[in-house]
Amino acid sequence: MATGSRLPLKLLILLGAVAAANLLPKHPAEAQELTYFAPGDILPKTVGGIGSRAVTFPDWIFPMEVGSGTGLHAYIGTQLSTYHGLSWSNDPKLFNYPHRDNQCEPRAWKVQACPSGIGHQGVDIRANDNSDKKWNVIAVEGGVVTSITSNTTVSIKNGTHTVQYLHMHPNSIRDAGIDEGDVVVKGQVLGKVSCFMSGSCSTSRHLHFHAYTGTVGEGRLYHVYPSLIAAYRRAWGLPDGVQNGELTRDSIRETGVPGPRPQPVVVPQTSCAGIQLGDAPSGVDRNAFSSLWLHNCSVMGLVADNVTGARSFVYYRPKAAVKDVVAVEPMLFTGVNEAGNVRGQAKHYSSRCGVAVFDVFGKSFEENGNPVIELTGKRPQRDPTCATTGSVDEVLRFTYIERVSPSNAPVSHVVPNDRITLSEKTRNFLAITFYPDGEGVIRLLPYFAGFPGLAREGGLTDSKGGLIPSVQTDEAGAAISWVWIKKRARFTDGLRIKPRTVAHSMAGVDPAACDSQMRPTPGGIEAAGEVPARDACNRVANYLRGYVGFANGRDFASDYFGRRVNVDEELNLAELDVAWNWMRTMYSHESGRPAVLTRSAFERGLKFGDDYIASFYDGIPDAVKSVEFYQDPCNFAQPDCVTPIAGVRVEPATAEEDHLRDTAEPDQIEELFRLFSGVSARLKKLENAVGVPLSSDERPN
Amino acid sequence: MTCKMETLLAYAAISCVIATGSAAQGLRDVGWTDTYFNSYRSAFRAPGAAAAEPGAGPSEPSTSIVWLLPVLGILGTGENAPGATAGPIPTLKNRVPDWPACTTEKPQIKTVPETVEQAAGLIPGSWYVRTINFGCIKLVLEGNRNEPDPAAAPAGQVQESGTTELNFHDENAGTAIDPEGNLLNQVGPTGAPAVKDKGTPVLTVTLGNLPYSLTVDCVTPESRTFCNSESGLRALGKQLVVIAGDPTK
Repeated sequence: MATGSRLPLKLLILLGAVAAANLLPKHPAEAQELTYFAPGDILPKTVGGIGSRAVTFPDWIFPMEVGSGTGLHAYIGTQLSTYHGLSWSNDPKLFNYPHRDNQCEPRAWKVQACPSGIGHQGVDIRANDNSDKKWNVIAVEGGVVTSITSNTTVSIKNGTHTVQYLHMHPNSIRDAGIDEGDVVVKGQVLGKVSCFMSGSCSTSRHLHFHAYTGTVGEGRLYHVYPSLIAAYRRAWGLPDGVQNGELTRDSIRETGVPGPRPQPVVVPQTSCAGIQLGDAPSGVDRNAFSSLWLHNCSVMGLVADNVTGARSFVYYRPKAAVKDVVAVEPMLFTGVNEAGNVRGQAKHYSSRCGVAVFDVFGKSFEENGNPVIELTGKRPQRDPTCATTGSVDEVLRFTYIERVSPSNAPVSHVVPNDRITLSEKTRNFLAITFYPDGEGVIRLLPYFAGFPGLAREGGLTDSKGGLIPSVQTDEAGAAISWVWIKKRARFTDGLRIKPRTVAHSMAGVDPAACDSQMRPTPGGIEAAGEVPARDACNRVANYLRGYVGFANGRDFASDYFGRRVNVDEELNLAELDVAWNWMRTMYSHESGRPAVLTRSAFERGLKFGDDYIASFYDGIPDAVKSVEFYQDPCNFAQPDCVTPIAGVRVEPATAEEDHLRDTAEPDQIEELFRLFSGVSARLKKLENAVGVPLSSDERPN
Repeated sequence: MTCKMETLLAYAAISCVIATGSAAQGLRDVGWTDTYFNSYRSAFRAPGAAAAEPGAGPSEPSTSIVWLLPVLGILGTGENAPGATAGPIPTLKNRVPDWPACTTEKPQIKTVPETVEQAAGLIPGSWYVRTINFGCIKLVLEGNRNEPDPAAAPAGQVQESGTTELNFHDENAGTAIDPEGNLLNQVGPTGAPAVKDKGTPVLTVTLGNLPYSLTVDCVTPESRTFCNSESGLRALGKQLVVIAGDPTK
């Protein structure tokens, strides 16, 4: 939760020279805003760089652990100190913004894209400071480690291109467990920034970074600077500035672009200098906040209900000095905002006497263009025995930092009108797959073999020789997947699941084998060996990347939940909305697109699954009905029941109608549909009972 | 348990890691008819030679990969070309000028990919990187039949078969830097200008229609002389032999 959150540059600015001595660097860059030179603007000025602004790798993350999550910086710029008039190649002055492209600066390397055809084949990047073996280098994307040299060049291939990371300390590469042939994931630590070249420390402390296609000697080097700038911006919670595949000109941050320059940095909390921040208290979720504010050098989250005007300030990153005392009751203020007038109750914390509540009131206003809320009240004054002896005036001031996230609207569920993937063609919703046993025979487990929805035609074979059994209907596919979730998934607690536990279950990896960063634990290594343990955790991480955006992955859950879902957030699949959203998340991670299934069919599938569980696992043979039964919405009084009544023709819901339902339909219409379908279903039953069609024009008068 | 393994989405893990879309990338024409490959082709077709098991070179380490391009090795390191002349092959020390004494005769060799999972999203067998570790010298040999991504550089003319290019990468641009990062004067112990280190050499050898890259990593001070020896490096480039690959693919 807290570890994956982002504190943007603005926070760092507000914290001033400030904040978190353990988080922020001790160098001149710490209070500066991010700035950078345009692509191709390299040193020396007499040499031309590559002016293209194309962001060839929009999905990369920055190759060091920078950004709001860590508070760490890095600085793209030539490692040749002579271009800066400095004789010490690790001079702290070199660890500073602005970023500057340095691809194509004078070298003899063949680089086809450089104006001269030769030059520096990539960029140099300085870490947070000039420490040796301290700052992690991380993979900008996943891939396969093809070689490691004494340079120390770690080469990672992904499709037709290879990314090379140079000069890490060799021990750090070993410690990171990186070896030739390994499959690594985006964000995985590869080693630590150092100075190794040709087997010894013989260059400055920096990371050299480049990417090529073909073979390395051909000189087909990518211009990586625009992609890295975009990744760096994202790391700090800034828009990446990529439009139509190119890095747009940012008049605020890009040096030399006409337009408004950065406003003078307002540092209203200068007294916060050197203050350390603590972690978020247990249970405090950044996603619950609408914005972050600074209060007495602590970062607060504002919970705002714009309908009722309710407001609460909650300690999100309390300064270290108060983190323990506020941890139990992190909500500092709760009240309302009525047209700018704010009133409510605040807490006064005392480690000795506990929390005292007192009334406060005040206003929200702007100061130097920045929103501020200031509340005043009289807080209880307590004597050494904690008895209240009077009151003292108290002022609570909150300064706006940033909006947490735009309120995401869930992606509308538009059912694809074709079937492409194996899971779609087999209607096997989660692509449950069976592999040959030791005798080379594929045998379905009894729960699947006895499933009445199993199709006779067998199934389709995946590229690893596994059989994805076909089922007869979409409802049957949802049903058997529901059975898997409820009865087969390991490490979960019935329908109360967490993304992490589901990922472990899918990967077949014991949760104790991987830590929170999906690195193998000592126990995991002991049980399986280092390489298998790492591979196992990588498999889990891959699921989490797709599910919830772990390590900047795809994050399908955001599409369906309309918000970030935390790795360890408990989801109760007994709630239909949650089940629908989560099962689609799993589906889309596998297929890369929305489920070929309507919400209505999904719900019938769940009922089918529950009935089959009652039949197969609980021994109630009559519990499960025919496959066709679960296809008919009328049997479930669903809005898309097709029975026409009283001359009114009700068509099956189309994908477009489902789309409309999911997006635009008010609750009242939904309720009307429900009532209407209920009547329809009852009419149908009545028809069956009396043997007379009541819903056709031919019915007797 | 009647089923050895039940798993969901077994391939999802791999497909998440590896870039998609690369399957659309075309493969370059190897140019197997080039005269350089004549002896290998003949041996490949000979009864009892590699033809008995297409794709698996006679001395290639066990792997599930069927190679779609010539897999190169270094002559005399135990990875002999099929049909090569019987009898002892002189060691590299006798054939390559300045080849350092600190090297081992039998290198450790690692080939990536060894499994389909390591194919990086490309057609297995369409590329490889081989690390040939002689101790104080490590060679990284790269072959790739996939069309390069035009986003990096427009398609260019492929060098004529048999051409060798030698480039050096010197990250410090001729400046010597001590472990603390101080810039050093380029003078030797006698006060004379020190031998300038040229950097990491990379040979690009074009065989048939494909360029192969050979990066020479001189790991220790004892081996640095070789990395500055152009004659030695070019001689090393001539020791490349085809040890595997299926000319029919």
